[in-house]
Amino acid sequence: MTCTPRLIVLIVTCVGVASFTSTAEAAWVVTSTGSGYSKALAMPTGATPTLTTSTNNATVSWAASTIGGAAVSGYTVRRYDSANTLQSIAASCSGLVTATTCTETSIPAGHWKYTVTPKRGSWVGGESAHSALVHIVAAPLSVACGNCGGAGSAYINSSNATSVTIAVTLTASSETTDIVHLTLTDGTTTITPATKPGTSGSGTVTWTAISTATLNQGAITLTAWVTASTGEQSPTATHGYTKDTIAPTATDIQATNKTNGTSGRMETGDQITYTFSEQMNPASLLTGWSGSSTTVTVSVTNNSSTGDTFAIASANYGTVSTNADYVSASITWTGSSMTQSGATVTVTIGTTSGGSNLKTNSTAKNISWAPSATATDLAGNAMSTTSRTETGALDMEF
Amino acid sequence: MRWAGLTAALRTLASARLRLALALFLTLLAVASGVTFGGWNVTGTGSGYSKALSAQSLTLSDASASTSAQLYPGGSGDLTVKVTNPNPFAVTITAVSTGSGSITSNKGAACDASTGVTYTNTTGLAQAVSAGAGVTFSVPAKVTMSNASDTTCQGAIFTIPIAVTATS
Repeated sequence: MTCTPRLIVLIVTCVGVASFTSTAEAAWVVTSTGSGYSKALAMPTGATPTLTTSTNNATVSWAASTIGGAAVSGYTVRRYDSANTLQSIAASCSGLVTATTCTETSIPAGHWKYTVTPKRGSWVGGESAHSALVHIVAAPLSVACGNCGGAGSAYINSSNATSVTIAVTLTASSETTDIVHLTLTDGTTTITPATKPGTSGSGTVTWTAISTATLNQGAITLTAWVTASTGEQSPTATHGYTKDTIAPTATDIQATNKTNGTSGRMETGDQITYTFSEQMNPASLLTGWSGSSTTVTVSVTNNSSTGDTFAIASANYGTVSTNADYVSASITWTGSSMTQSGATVTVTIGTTSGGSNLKTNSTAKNISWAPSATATDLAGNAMSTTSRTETGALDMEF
Repeated sequence: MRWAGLTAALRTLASARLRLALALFLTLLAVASGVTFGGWNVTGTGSGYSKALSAQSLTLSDASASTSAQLYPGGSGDLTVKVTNPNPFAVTITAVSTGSGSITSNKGAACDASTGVTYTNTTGLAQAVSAGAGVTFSVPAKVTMSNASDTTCQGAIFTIPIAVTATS
């Protein structure tokens, strides 16, 4: 038997493999218990916010906060007064604000400052330093014309147009360093009286002798507002008026015969219609009248020389001459009715106990009307007394 | 007599090269045996006996001073572990898993009641620890924090129960 080198190598290799295999099988596995450790970051303090205001709104803005390089979930925005008393904050800035700006609207008047506190999850960061104070100025409680006339005192008329008095009522938050502004405008032309200082607390600031001569007839808007000494502006207070300085005039007067009535003879149901250049104030025509149908007494006065006259008891229509002969003696018509529709007033003749004095006119004439200056239009302008003759062809009337 | 018999038998071998091969075989067998048992060997005195060591558990100790602040709600951080190997042989830490007990903090009851912190078991580690030596190491980004973490947990150091697996 022979033993070659190749056999020797094979034997050595086998022994080696066997040896190292037994080494691996002998490794230990040990399990040990104890504690590991991990550490948390802390939330940052919010950045001091800055403010811009628009009337009673404040836009609060601040720099973003991060933690561990990640953005925070949002911010809590707080408003304090100048004594550092926390206030309720309006909806748009309440709760968790996820942006880095919010606008609180309809903020009450006062001096306010804001803070921002970042949040992430349940973690709350440090509250920022206070912003600068902002002065929210209250709008005036009212702006009103003190000497306007007409219905509802809502008119700038011929009596006051060159000397209007306007009062602006301020709130309890008013300060003497505030500046009160007033304008009057017709939409095209604006009058801007000089500003006046605010009051200390509630009060009224009054402008007098304001001429509205440059304003057009029609709707006039009074606008008042307040600015703080630091520039913040309040919302406005407005009030609408109407400029009407034009006197009403008599446009026409007509007497009409009722259906199937006798032409030229005054009868129950016949009508006389006054037409004005504009709607009149009914109370100026008949005290206490609203313009709706009311009962009146019509009187016809006999005047054989110049024509019978027609009048409504206690009313301010002036003098109406029929220029014709309808009665032989003066009579009255009770139970007559009077109603207003726009610029016209229609009187319907009632009943009379003096029927024996009625006559049937046979001469075609036109009625003439001399208005009373006691009557006024809705603006309070006195009626022009210029007479008006019935329009149209001569007729028998009634 | 037996040695003499063996010598005689060897002499009967047909070739000197075969004798050489056998000698090498015996030599390698002896060497290999030494490698296999060398890590466990102990040296006794005064007796004729020999006994293998028992592998001792690794010792985990306070590593809070070695932590760095990383956790925040919705974020993750490292787990820092300080371990000492009391054995006279090197070991390799291969896994760190969640141990028994609650995660606590140094911030008190409010934080402990809602740490929001969880640890994710980690395998495939190869952290060597020399014989009789200690080491502080980190398991990266395996600690997470939810948004439920109480605000009092800001800046907290969390103590997280773990189990460390090591092989020799």
